[in-house]
Amino acid sequence: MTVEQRDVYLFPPTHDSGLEHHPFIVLSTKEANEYEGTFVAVMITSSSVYKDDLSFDLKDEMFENPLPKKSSHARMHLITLCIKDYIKGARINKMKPVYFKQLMKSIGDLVFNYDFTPLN
Amino acid sequence: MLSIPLYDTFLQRQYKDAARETKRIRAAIRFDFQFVTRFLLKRAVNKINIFLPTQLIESKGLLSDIESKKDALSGLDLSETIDSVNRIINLNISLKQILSELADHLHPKFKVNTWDPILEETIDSLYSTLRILKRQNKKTRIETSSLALESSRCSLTSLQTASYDRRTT
Repeated sequence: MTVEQRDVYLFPPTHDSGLEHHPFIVLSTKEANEYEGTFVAVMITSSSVYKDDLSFDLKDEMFENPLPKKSSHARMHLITLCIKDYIKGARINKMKPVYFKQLMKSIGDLVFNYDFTPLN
Repeated sequence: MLSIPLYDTFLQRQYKDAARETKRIRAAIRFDFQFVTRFLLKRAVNKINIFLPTQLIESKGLLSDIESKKDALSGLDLSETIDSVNRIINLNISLKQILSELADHLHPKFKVNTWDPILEETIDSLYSTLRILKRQNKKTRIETSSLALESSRCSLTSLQTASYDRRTT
């Protein structure tokens, strides 16, 4: 399976966790993902408990398919290294480029204090 | 500098304008190209052609004002203003989707002028405003969440698996 930037996958919790699977948006490029079978992704949740200034609101229109849960948001600081082999099922969605750019800009600005503007 | 209540008033008005135009265009495309609908559609498209550049200029103006005065905003409770900007962004994202669906079916004489780059630029300005507000917003300290702990564990497990090709936890 090829994991590409902007793809959305379900990723399982670790073995000792009571949390259900969460969708993740892939942030890293295909080339980086293929290098060691890992990818970097940001966690999506629909929990209102964890909604704050580090949340990036997600809407159906930002994706190729509607989101399974309303009021979803990406937790911009929860960026995780994932293993491709642990992905649950097939790709569930893909973020549109114009909104992915805004997500990356927000992560760069609010989490890293860096300009994450794409090169092309 | 505009005060926070003035920003909020300005944003409320901007939201109302965007909501009105979105409603108008939705209503016009609900019926399928009868005479009356064509008239409504033409009117809605004319209105949107005026509204979109105006909204862009207003969004740029707001961003410029907030950017130049951001130090004065630091530490204030900007949550309401952040919510207002988020609402306008969401509305513009919906409007962009409606117009992209409409564009394929529109007769050339109903054309919405350069709506896509204008809306993208507007959305970009609004997100820039949002980021400044979030950076300056009063921070409250919270406990490490279960999501954060889980995310950290996932990273550790992945790193160990990638490094040693086996799970070590």
